[in-house]
Amino acid sequence: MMLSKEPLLTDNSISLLNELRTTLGKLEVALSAIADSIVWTDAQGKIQWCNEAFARLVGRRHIEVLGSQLVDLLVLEEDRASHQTHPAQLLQSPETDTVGCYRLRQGDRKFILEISRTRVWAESHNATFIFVIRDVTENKRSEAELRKALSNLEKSHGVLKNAQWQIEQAKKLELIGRLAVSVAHSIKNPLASLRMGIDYFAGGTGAEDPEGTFILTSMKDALERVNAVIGELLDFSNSQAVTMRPEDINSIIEHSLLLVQHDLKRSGIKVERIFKEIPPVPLDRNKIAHVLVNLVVNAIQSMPKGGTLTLRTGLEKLETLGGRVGHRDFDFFKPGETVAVAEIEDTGVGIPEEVLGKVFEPFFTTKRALGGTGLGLSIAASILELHRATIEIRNREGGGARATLRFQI
Amino acid sequence: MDTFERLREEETVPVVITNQQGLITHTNKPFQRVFGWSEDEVLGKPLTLIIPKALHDAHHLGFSRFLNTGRPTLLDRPLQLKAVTKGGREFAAEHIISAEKRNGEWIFGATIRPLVEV
Repeated sequence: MMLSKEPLLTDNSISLLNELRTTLGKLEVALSAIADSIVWTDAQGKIQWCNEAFARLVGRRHIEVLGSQLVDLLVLEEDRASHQTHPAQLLQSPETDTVGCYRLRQGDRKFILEISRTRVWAESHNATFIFVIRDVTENKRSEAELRKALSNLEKSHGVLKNAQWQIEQAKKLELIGRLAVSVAHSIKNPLASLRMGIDYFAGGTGAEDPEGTFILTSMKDALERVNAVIGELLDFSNSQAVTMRPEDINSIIEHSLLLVQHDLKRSGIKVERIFKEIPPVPLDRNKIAHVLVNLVVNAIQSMPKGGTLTLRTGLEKLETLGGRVGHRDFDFFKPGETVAVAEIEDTGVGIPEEVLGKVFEPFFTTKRALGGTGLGLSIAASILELHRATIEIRNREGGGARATLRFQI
Repeated sequence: MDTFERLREEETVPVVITNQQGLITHTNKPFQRVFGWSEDEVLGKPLTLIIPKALHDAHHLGFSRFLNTGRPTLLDRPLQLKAVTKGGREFAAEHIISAEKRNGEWIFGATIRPLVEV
């Protein structure tokens, strides 16, 4: 056995050494108390030191981790999509300080790690690297949950806003309806007196007063028109309150055609149906049938010498902005949204271009002589608006007109 | 016979003993043969003499922590660690490190069994 010599250190050196060791020891304890993993490698990615959190993360003893390559010890899942390399690789690349998220699988457990890498110059220009590894699995999960909750909220907000809008519109319509009814009723009796008066005078005049007869006939026609307007207003107001139910548009079209089948037959019009399957659309069946009958009657009237009535339904993905498509509050549809479409096409005379812009104006009509009130399309447009649906009327290239209805599904 | 008496009498496996400052106070013949240092050359030198450069920081940090906290993390069980010879050759070895307090001061001893031909 050899005798050990006492080491040659002065008391000063020993006390300085002890002081530095105390500082280093505190530092080590502090770094190991941090929940994030801290790894310190040399320029080749070889581990020089790590804290206890890292040893726990890789399931190894602290001391055995030293000297290993970080790449070998912390095996991250490859992400082919992003061509993401391991943060302990390409240490010589100019991009020295990086931060990114990586996937780690340990048995059945999956982690998402946020790894930041910082280059530190130490010991005579040798680069070393500090890696700070944070487990952000929970954060990412809550983030995703929050995002989902937010999107659900936004969706319900949209539904609520929609419902609120419909209620407001329904209230407005109801008010207009009540007003119309009371106006119609108060006008009806005076009108009846006027009519009786006209009939009385008409009975008294004859061939001897052709001018008087002409005036009386015009007055009678005017009265008929007023009656027709009132009838339409009452008809519209009397229809029951709006009741939205998921309905099959194709079947409503069939029902509407049934109501006008005699007119179709009389005008010798061929009916073509090009129906696609569409999911049920929430709407008021009676009111939409009213709109469809109106449009079909218009089509029939534009084809006095016969023709083809085409009814087409399907789905359409809205691509372009404009009309009621957009992100604004008052837009009915969002770009990219898929809507249900119903088209009514005729091969009739079409609509003069200068008139196209006015067809939805109340009391505008080109068919005064046929008893048109100018309320049909305007009421149709209101009903569709109530459904947050749109209507568009255009001339077809080959002649005739086409009405296009779009509904939210 | 306690651990340190056994270490001092070990004749086949390399042994090194240090004081609380981490300075070498004892080595045996196998140590001198494996590492290539003579007893005179190593006595009073820091233990980092036989630790690869890459592990010096970890050694200082770990050693200091133990002195501060007295909480052992690697004592008395076989550890596979690298050691370095006088010629600068690194080799894998099984270390068993022990610590003991004598007269208020820690002493540390280790057997270092090479796992490869040195």
